Amino acid sequence: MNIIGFVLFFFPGALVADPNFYTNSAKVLSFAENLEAEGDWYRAITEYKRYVHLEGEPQDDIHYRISRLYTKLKRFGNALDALLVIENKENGRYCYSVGQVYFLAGDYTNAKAYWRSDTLLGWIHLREGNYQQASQLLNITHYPKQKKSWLGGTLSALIPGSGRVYAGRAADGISAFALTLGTGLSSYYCFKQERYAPAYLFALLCAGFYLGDIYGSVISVRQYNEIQEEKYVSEIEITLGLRRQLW
Amino acid sequence: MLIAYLVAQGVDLPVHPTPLSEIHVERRMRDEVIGPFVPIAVLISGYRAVLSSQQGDVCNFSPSCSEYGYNAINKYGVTGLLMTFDRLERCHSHAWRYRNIYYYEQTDERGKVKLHDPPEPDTVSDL
Repeated sequence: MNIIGFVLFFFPGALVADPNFYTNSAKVLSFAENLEAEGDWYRAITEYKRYVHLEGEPQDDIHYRISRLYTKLKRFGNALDALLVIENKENGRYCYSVGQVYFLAGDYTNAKAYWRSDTLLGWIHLREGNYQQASQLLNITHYPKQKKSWLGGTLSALIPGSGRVYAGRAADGISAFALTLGTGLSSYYCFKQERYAPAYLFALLCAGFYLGDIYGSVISVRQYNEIQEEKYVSEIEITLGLRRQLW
Repeated sequence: MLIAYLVAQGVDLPVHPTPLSEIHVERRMRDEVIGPFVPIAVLISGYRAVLSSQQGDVCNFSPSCSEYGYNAINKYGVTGLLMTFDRLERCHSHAWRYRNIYYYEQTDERGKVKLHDPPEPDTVSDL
């Protein structure tokens, strides 16, 4: 009696556990699917691998699932490894899946080798910034709003801060103008009063702020363009429903 | 063993020796700065030690402007100097308008919320 009590107290699972659970491939598969649905992707991968091992036969569909989960986990090398063992490589699904892993990994050159449809190739061109080719393949009529970085730099060279205003950052422009003007005027008045040490110091600072503003204006315009491009690509992807084609 | 040997030789050991980590940091700061930028690096270090430490944590950005300047000059030389002046022009109270557009928020080790702006040229910081 004591022994039974001991077993029940310390090993209550002994009453309900199925001793054949880990050898029953159907249950393992069901468990893996549940883990995947819960978002526990690492353990789901393990259980899918266990299923493949138990079945002992090529399981292409399961390898696609494993690859998909590795892709979601951003482990693209593992995702490609999972696809390598697939037996039937002569179908569209295989090419699409490999292309997708490369695409999501940002390797657009290799993605192009596997993706064949115009829409997908257009999408790659869109991500690469080749808007001309993308517009031909995706039937897009407009391009992202772009500003000229050289114009931003030139404006700042003429009037400090104006390049940043051109880039849409008026507060930075006003700050740059005030600092350049302030140090410049300070230098001027110090020279006028023949106080050369502070005069040269302010002149150096003024030159630094002036050149820094030109540099900053060019960078600000580039950043503006970068953000506009991201918005544009995102808008196109949503409009054409491209993201729905991914895992 | 070494300490015992030095004591036996009559060498005066410091009572509170400088921790190795500090020596490493000082050497690293001195070694990294190159040629014409040494005076600027010394000025920034002096500012950080004397003025900034008294003024408190007032910069809008993480890393702060002085730290940004020091690292940028070390890493990029003349471009780093331009980046530093550019940063000084961007560091004002209205910089928060560009939060989640050009900068994202980051909580520093003291729990203060700052705008993240690492010394990397020509990039929008990982938005």
